[in-house]
Amino acid sequence: MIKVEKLEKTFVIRQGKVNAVRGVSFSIDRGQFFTLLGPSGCGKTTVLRCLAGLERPEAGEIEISGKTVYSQVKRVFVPPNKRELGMVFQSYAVWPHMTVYQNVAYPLRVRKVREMEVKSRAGRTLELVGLSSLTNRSVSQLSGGQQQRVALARAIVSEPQVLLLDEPLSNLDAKLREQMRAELRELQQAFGITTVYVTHDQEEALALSDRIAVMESGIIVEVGDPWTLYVDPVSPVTAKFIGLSNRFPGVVRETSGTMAEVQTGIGIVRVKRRRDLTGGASVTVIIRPESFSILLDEAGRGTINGQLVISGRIENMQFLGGVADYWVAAGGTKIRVRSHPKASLRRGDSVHLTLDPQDCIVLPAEGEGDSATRQ
Amino acid sequence: MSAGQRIVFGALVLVVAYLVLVPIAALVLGSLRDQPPGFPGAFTLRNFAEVVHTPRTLVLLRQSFIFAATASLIAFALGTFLAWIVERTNTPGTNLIFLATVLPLYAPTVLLTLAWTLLLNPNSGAINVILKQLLGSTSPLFNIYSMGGMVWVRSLLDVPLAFLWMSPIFRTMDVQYEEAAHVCGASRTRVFLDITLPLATPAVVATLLITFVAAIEDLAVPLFIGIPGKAFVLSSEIFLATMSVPSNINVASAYGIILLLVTIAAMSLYLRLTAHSERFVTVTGKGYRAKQTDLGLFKYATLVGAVVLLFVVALVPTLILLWTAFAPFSQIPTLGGLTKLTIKNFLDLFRLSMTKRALMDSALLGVSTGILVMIMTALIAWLLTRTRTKGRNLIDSLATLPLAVPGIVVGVGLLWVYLPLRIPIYATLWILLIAYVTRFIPYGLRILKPAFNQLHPELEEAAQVAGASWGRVFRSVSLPLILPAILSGLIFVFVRAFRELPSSMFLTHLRTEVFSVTLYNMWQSGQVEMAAALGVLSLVILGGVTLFVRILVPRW
Repeated sequence: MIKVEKLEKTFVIRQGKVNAVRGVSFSIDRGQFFTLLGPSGCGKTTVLRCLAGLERPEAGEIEISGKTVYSQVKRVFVPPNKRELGMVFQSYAVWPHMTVYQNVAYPLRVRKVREMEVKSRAGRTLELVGLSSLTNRSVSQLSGGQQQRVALARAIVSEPQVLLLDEPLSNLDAKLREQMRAELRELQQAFGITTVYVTHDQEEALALSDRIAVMESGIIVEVGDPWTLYVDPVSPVTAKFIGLSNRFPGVVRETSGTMAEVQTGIGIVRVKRRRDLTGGASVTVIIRPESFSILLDEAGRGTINGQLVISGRIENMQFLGGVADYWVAAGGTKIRVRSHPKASLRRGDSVHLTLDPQDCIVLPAEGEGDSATRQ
Repeated sequence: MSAGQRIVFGALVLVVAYLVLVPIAALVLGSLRDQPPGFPGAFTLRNFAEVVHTPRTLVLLRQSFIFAATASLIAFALGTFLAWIVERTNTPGTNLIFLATVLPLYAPTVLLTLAWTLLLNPNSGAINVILKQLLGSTSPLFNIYSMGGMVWVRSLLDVPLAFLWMSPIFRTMDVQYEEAAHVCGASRTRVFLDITLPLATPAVVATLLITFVAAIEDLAVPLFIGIPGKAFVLSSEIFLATMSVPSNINVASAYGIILLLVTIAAMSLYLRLTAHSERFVTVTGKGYRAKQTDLGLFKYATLVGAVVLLFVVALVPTLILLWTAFAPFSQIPTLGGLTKLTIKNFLDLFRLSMTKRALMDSALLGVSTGILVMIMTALIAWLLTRTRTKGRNLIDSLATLPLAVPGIVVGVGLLWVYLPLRIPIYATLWILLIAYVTRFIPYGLRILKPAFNQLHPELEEAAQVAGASWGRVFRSVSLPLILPAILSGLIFVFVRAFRELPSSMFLTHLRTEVFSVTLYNMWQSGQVEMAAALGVLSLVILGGVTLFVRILVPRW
């Protein structure tokens, strides 16, 4: 549906040049919800704007619905108004001099749809986003969430094959953000519309996407489905950016069959073996806070049934409602643990932590594995 | 509010109300009297009857409208073109274009007018003479002394104003509005018609209104060009009627009322448009990125266009002024003439006590007006932004009202107030000071109100908590922090007071002729070279003072 090949985009600024996008390639299947995830300045918005035709890349090729809309080699550049896309902007960009209805009808009117049909289609779309009662309001009288819906209705009213979303939820408050997130996913599923979504919010990306591309400094470091990126990332960038993590530097001691043992500051951790793990290699063991089980116990350091047992003391805790976070001092570091809140656990308590080898992520030691990518 | 504050602000409100309302009231009363100021007389409607019954009134109104409307449209077109080039394209040299466009704002209005009479005088104007030689024609191609000439000069005077008003529109309009329409399938032309134009409309109308008012209340162009060309407008008619012997100041006052009604209508429409600008807020902050159109090779065409325009607007008039100021006698610029250039005109100027005094007086008036206006408006701005005093809006309106009052109206109004008084204010510098402070209070307020709005109240509260009294807080925290704004306001008001012409023409006397009036009198009596030299001197003084104050401006 969408194919991007070796995209390059440079911006000239006062201080010199910025390589915003450095050879980005990916492809998106029909009906997929695809997310570009990364910190601000990583080039994700630039990629989206290149897809929309709002930026003209210097090199590469972009194909949408089997049609080449940009190619440096073939010297093709289709302007945005000929790409037949829907787009929601970060600031919504709903036009303040038009009513809700006029905003939504606009894409149909510029495509010279008959006024009768404009009325019914715009009406239907407004109903879909729940704005039927505000049709004739001026958009400047609307709340942020309502403006967001107008922008969304405007983007889908012409039934485009591709929907582009540039951080559409970032200007909403937390509660509304969650609600809109659910509605957005529902809408996308119902229409089966191919969607490209840009965000810096990893939670949003995990919740919405079929596939996520993690970007950093103008390149895609890893593409995968949310589950794989969370439990089995290939790139340290992904591991760091998605989810919370405890990181323990270590050395591979021994490998046997499907398992390996890594010597770390908190003890010997048994992990699932990965192909590239050999004895003596420097690695980083990454353990999610919720992978630990936390128990109030006086048992010493050692192993129980082959599991590592780490003894420590609760230094700090945060009660978050459904879960609680504990910072446990052990083995010279502080380990963040997330679990069901337990009334019996207090600051200063001695505890022990256990861990399932399946839940440990092992990556090459920091600095060596930055070039690892998964396409 | 403490008792001290009450006294300070009560006094302030009385002073502002006196300054602003008294001349207007006096003008209204004067237009209803049958005798000039200082003579016992009776109330009458005769003056208005005369105005209504003279066919000339309609002619004057029509001429004034044609003059102001055409000038503001041309200025708008040129200023918008320059603003678009500077803010939205990748044309090279935009910094220079910006400077060259804005700098003429600091030059006295009378200078550009004088320069164009030197260029386009039908007999001796440099452009006319050169073109006559080139084309071998016998009659002059241009005659500055006509309605066309007035419109031409007035539009060039307003180009910087239109530029400054349109630049922010181009700079701050969120390009996402336009991009959204583009993605929706609209072509570039449709995006411009459907999105850009409607969003910019309030700003466009506001710009047109501001330049319209500037033109219709102008006295310099009608005086230098209109009167010799017999192209009369309301402002020149008011001047002629007041200055004629015997004076017809009563009818002039009636005309003044008409002019005042026109400007008040235009300015209130303008204030209404800009007050509700939040409906058309075009800056969203987040997600905003300035976008420049890549013009490709066409950028050199826009560069040439801008340079040619600025050459005409700023450079040619400056050059002719310099040439004339250093020329031994009136002659058109030639290479051969370069060797004969002399500083004789400047020496002649300094031999006249009149010119020395005019420059000194104008500088003195400029500085005192600047200081008085900034002190008063600093207090008013503080009152408006920091307190919830009842009647705040009234004070705001009072201090903004002079924006809509033409300088001529202030001049005639003050004649009515001070001519009959026993205390010697008329024919002194004091009456000019009163006129200038009245006229320029709004400018000070418009600069200081945003400055106070940006200053977080907690900065002042911290000083209060630390134990400082209100006066102490104002002196030691508020004032120093808005000092940069105060100083730039000071320059702004200084320049405007130094070059003031419309009210000065009515209020100066033989011994109190200020700069613009002196220059006009020299020009009118045929001492063109000395007038040009005086103009060059004024540029040196204005430039020097502006630079000096800029150096003083602290940066936090």
